[in-house]
Amino acid sequence: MKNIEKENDFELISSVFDEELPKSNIDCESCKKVIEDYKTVDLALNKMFKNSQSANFSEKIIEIVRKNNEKITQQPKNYLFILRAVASLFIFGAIGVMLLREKPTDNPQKNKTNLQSKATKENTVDKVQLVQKEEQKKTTEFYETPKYQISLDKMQPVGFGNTNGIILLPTANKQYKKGATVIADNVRHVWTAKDLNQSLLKIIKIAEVLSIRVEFIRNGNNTLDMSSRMTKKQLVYFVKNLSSSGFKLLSSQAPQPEDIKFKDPADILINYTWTIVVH
Amino acid sequence: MKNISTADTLELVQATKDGNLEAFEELIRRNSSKLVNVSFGLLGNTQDAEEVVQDSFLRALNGLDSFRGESSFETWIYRIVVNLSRNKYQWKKRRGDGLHISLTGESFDDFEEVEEILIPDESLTPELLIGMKEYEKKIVGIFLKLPEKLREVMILRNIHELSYVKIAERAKCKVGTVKSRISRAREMLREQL
Repeated sequence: MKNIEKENDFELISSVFDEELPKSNIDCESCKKVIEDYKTVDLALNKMFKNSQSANFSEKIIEIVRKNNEKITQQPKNYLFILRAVASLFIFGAIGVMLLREKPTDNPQKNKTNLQSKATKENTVDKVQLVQKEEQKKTTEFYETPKYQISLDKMQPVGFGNTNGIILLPTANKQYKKGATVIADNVRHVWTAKDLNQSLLKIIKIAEVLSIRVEFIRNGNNTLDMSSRMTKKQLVYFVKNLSSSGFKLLSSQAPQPEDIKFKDPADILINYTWTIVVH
Repeated sequence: MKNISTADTLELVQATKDGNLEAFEELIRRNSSKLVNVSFGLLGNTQDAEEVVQDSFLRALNGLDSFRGESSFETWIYRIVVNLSRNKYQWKKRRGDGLHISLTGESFDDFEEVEEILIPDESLTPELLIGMKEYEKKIVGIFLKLPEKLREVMILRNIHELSYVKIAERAKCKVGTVKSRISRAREMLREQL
């Protein structure tokens, strides 16, 4: 090789420099100069790399790895310890309760006391069950008939809607039951009544007791259109009271006066519009 | 394993998998220096390089079960370091700090094979330049501006002292490409003399 001009020549020299090829491949003076330059370059790079890390770097990493490993190994131990402690407490607690309830003692008097205690407990349980049944019954009663009475004799024209006379309604049974009625968000009913004035007074009174604000929509010949925004629970009461006050419901939309089970939460607000037809 | 210091890499890896942390510490002693050089060559910053290598060893220890010995441990940890160095570079690039790209410096856009140029921090610390002559400082400055792939093969050749075949395996390219890249890098650096 006499002249180095092409890129391939430098590749060749570089390969010789890296001892990938035998030295005999290059024997020109310029080639030797290039080799010398490569040595200088390598020397500079090696100096740089030598200075490129802090002293005892390996030991620093080892220290960090050790600390990290300690953390990893400690965490599961602590976790297992807590888990075991909780499990032990639970098991001993359960055993303790079982022993207190069931285990007969050698002392006949104690046994007697235990038996009496057991009988008392059973008695108590019975009572509790009775109370629960009564509560259930009461809850159902909410849907059957309201607890208050509206005295038609004392009714007076008091105007539409007021905030007085709020009554506490029994809590609705939140448990869904089979055959429960679904009340829509917008309910429309047509009722019939015999006397318009009397009907109006009754509606006013019921609305007052139930704390429902009633709005007139239209007053036509023998008809009275009204609307109200009320909860589903209020609507159930309202419908039952209208029915028990002599109004007859012509519409089939829920709620009907005889409905006792409802699927929805009682406190959802709905729009109720109704027409009273006097015949 | 009788003696950790005389054990080969495979034995050390197996011992680490069996829970012997001292075996892993020996792996750190044997490889950390070269790996810092790799990361430094890519990032051009000692602190970043050491962070990357430290993180790489922690990851290697946690993920050693996934190492199945298909390649050597050195190649495996080398790839981790290179990948984390690239991540670090991208992270710093997003933050916009630590990277000083010289607009007046040489352009290496004529390297079609280089898809993405990883430009390291050019702010050479005084410690790095200790005992260096002026032309050597220039060489170092240019080296840190070389495209990432050229720097990578140079590091594998100069620091790891690998053959072209081994470099090709590590850098995942052909032997001819390695030869070409090393030659190009050297020529660019030689121009500074």
